[in-house]
Parts: sequence; C-alpha cells; structure tokens
Amino acid sequence: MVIDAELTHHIFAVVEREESWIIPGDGRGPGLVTRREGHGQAITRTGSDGVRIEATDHPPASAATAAQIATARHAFETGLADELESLPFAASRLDASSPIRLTLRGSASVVRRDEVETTRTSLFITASIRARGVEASIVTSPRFLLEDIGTLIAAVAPPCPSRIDPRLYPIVWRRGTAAVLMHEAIGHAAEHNASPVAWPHWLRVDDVPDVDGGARMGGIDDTGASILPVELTGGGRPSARRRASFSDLPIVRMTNVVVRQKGAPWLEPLPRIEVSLVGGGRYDPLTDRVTIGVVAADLVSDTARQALQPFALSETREAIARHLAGAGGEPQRYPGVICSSEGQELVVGSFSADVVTSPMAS
Amino acid sequence: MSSETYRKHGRTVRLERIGGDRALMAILESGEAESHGEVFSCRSFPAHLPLPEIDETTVLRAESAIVRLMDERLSLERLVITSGIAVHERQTGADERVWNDASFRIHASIVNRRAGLRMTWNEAAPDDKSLAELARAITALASNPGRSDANPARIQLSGSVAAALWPALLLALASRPADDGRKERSELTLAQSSDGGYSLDGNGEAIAVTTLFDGTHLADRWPNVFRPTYRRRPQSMPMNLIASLERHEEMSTDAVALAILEPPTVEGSEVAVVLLVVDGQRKGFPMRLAMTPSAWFGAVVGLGGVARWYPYGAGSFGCDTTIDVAGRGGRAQFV
Repeated sequence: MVIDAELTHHIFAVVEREESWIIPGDGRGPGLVTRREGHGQAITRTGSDGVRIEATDHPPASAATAAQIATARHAFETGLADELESLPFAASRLDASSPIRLTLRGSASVVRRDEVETTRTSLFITASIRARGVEASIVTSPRFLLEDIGTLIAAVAPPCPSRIDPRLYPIVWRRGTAAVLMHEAIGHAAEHNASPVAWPHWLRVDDVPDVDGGARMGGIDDTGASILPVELTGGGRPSARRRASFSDLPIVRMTNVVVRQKGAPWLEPLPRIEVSLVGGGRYDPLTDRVTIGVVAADLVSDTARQALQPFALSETREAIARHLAGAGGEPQRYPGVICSSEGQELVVGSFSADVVTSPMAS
Repeated sequence: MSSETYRKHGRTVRLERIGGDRALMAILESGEAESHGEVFSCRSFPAHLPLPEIDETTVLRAESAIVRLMDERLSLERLVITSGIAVHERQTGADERVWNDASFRIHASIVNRRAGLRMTWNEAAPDDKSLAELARAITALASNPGRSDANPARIQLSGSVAAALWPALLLALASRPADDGRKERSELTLAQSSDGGYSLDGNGEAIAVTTLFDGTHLADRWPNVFRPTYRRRPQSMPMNLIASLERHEEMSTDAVALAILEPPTVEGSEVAVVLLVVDGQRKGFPMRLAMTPSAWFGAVVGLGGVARWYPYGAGSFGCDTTIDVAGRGGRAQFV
C-alpha cells in the first residue's frame, strides 16, 4: 500500500479490547466469559470518484500507519489496561441479588489529518442485570461504576410492580432520563435533517463534543475534523462524524446530549409517573416517531409511591413537543446511552434537567 | 473441557450509501477465535494469508443498476453492497479443516416519505429477473400506495417475501411452548438444503439435508451452526431453508406481495409482517398480516416457479408462494 500524501484525507487507527464478566452476586468473584481484542487502521481518500476507504487489521504496510497503531497501542497500555483488569473485582464487592453482566470496552484511537495527530482513549462499561422478569442496564465510566451499579440494582429490586397506562399520567423524567427522550426526538431528528418542531422556548438541547463525565472527543471527530458544540433546538446538526471501528463508515452522530432549561415552569402534579431508568429508545425518520422503553419508574400519589412494570411510549416528535410542560434544575448525568444507528454502537453522553411531560393521551 | 480454535482471513469490498454519505471501502482482516469451556476470546490475527483482489466493478455495477431503477418520488435511505471472500481454518482436538467461501450481498432500504412507507430488499445474486422484481416493487411503492378496495382472500408472496418469512416463522415456533395451540398438521414442510448460499456451516461441516419442520413437529435441534464473524460465538441456526408442499391447490390471485415494508416480528403468539401488495389494477397497498406460526404454515396453498436463495437469517429459499388469508384463520389488516 502506497500512501499518496496529496490524496490522503485522513488516517484513523485504533486498538480495542472488550471483556465481559459475570459477577454471580453470591459473594463469589467475577468470571470472565468473553474477551475481544483487535486493532486496525483506515486510510480515507477523497477523489473525483468519491470517498474511498482502505481498512485493514493487518500489520501496517507503511511507516505512517505503523506510527499511528504504535501510538494507539501505547495509549491503550498506559491509560486503560490497569483499569480493565481491576474494575470487575471492584464491582464484585457490591451486594447484588442477581448476577450482573459487566462489559468493559476500552479503545485508544489516533486520527491524523493535515499533519495534525490526535490521540484519544475511551473506556466505558455496560452493566446489565435481570431479576423478577425485568432486564435493566446502564452505561457508565470507571469513575461512576459503583454508584451506577447501585442504581441498577435498585431498579430491579421492587417486588410486585403495578401495570398502568402511562399515557394517562404526567411524567417527571428524573435523574437525567429526559436526555434519552431528547436524544431520540431532537438529536437523531437533527442527524436526519428532520423538519423543525416548535420546542418550548425554555428548552435548550446541545450536542457538546467534550463533557466531563461524558464522551471526550478532544475537539476532533473520527475524521480529524474540528468539531464544536451545536445547539440542536436552534436547528443545528451534530458536527461530529464518528465510527464504531476502523472498518466502519464515519457518519454524523451525537457526542454528548445536554438538556437545559431556563425559566421553565416547574410542577410536580399528583398523581404522576417518575422515571428513573430507561431501557432504550428509537427514532424513525420516516414516521417521525419516537419510542422510549422505560425500565424503572414509580407512580407517585399524595399517599404512596408504587413501582411500575416496564412500559413503552411511542409518540411523534410534534406530540412530544406539545406535551413538554415544564422542567427544573441543572443537568444531571444519566448513566448511559449506547446508540446503535446503522449498526455502529457508540456511547453518547447524556445529561438533562428534570423534565415534565403532560399526559400523552390528553 | 472442549476447546476450539477458529481463524478467518477475509477480504471485502463494501459500498455504503447512507443518507447523503457514500463511500467505497476495501477491507482486509484476519482474526482468531478460541473457545475454552465457557470462555470465548478473539483477536486480530497477525499472520495473514494472501487473498486475491476483489473486482469492485461488480459492486459498482450493482449500485448503478439499483440507482437507475429509483423513482424521483422515492429516496434511497440506505444501500449496502458487499462482495467478499474468506478462508476459514478450524481446529478441534486432532481435527483440522480449511475451507473457502465467497459472498455477495445487497441490502437496500427505499422510502416513500409522502406515504410514510419503507421497503427493504435483500439479494445475494442480482440478475435480470430479480432486478425486474425490484423495479416492479419500486413502481408500486412510488405510486403512493393507499387503502385498497380489494380484500383478497389469497395473496401470492414473491420469492423474496416468502424467503424472509420462513426463518422468522421457524424461530418463532421454536421459541414457543409445546402447547401453543397447534392443532392441525400443515401440508408445508421446511428442510435444509445442501445447495444455496452456504455449502458449509460455521464449523466447516456440510449442511445437513434434513427436515426441520414436518408440518407438525420441529426438529429437536438445528443441526448446523452459523458464524458470520470470528468475533461472535457460532450459533445454531436453520440454514438454507427450503419449503415443500404436499398438495398444491389452484393458485389464482391478482394480489401479489412484492416486498416487505416491515420485517416479520413476534407480537405475542403471532408473527406480524407488513407487505407491499399490488392488486389486479396494479395499484399498490400496504397490508399487515398477523398469524400464529402454525396458522402461517397452514395458510400456504401453493408453491410455484423456481426457488431462489436469499440472505435472510442463515439463508432461505423462496418461490412464488400462495397463501389463503381468509380460509385459514389469517388476520389481514389494511394499513
């Protein structure tokens, strides 16, 4: 492979490792079930015949790509290796009633464009638990691992949850969960250049490439281009092109979704649903419809708080905008969104104020 | 404790058109996977075998053929065309085997935004006939499909639609308890074929030519494993599925299901699918069909034409397949 400097647009190299552990939950230590390791690089050229990408996990054929792989490997070994080996044992000290599956994904990547080279490392952890017919998961970082697993264990703890029609109740989206709603309704819609929707004047949703406790892009996307925060509620589109690995096409994706409010009405109607953990979401650009799966929520009345069975909400973006009734507080970190658009799994940081929606059936 | 070492050396040319992005990718990878008891591990493999170059013009020709068929009222939401070759090596104990394969895959997602409909098309060997079928489906999708005045008692499923259904129905049936309400024996049977897109399975074993559904009972297990990547454990799957029917009834219907609008999904005890159907006036309409797997199998009254292999599940053959919607407890909804 000969690299023509004039035609080479950017080089992306990555070293990755993923491990899945089972923590039995009965005091025994964690057990490794899966380990995946890999490396590779992609050279992207843009010419008269369009974009061409040469991707390989074979030993680099040029000094240029060899340097990137070596840099990524060094970054991985010095930044991530120790944590990958110690975290499952730290997590196993938690008292979980059911087995927890812990998946740690670490990567170090190097992007080289216009003679500028940027190195990044990333380590995120998915923890999932299944108990009483409920499967819940979080995505987190080493810093928040123990705290977030505590949230996960609590989510599946309540016995005998109730079943209700969630469209009949106002919902308070607590603990940053509204970030998932906005990720689907505003973020993905912006990625797809969806038609504008009249969001409340008090709502502001941004895609922010670098957030403490979230994704850290270092001001550069996976093609080496500079990226900046974008106000999605102002009609902006995420500025980053991201890729799950070297053999994937970089496409426009969110980095960190930050949902803020300014001067929003705050209300806590009774009875209400309070959502604390979301299982997943989906936006269909064809129908403009958002579907959110709620895993942990309570029905709160003036006399009691009753855990609810998992439920799903499916509404158009216009309906969601119309039912946004208020918000309060500062953005809180939500433990995790793994976004799998086009089959490429990427972590998108999520931060949101508490948000209130009026009954969707109204 | 059983152990296995598996290596895959592959070269791929992949064209992706996603929204407004388009790229032609050339990918060269070698990987090794090991299973020791409960632990599965895999990694990039440093030594690689020399693999021949792939002629990218076959990919570009397929792209051109599909783009030419597009109607201005439609959008090509996603087009992924892949041409690949691979050498596989597997060692278990003293048993070592090496095998090669080649594959060609097209996945297209085409939308009519005005009608709010999305059609998906999967093909492994595009030729004049399959492109003509795609053109017909594109014409129907572009004609702003709406409600039909027709209420067809019988529908002829195109080969690609039938091929998409068989693995979904079989897996849905297998996931249900034994007393799922199956009462009558269907005349449709499903078997594995040694012909088709896969000549060997993910362990390098021959595809067992055996019946997986005899009209009443399912096989105790899927005899072959599917391993599309070295990064995942191989999985037991029905491979190269092909349908047979004991007795054919007259296949007269004007309603033809050309394509899938929403892929088969399990909804409670039923498998639901939304199809793009054209009637005798060539008017297109979306039709949702939801039946239990047993009712689906029982609804099939005719198989005709030449069976072609499609890349659904771990491979499935489809031919013109007539289903009796009204007479077999089927539930059709116009959407």
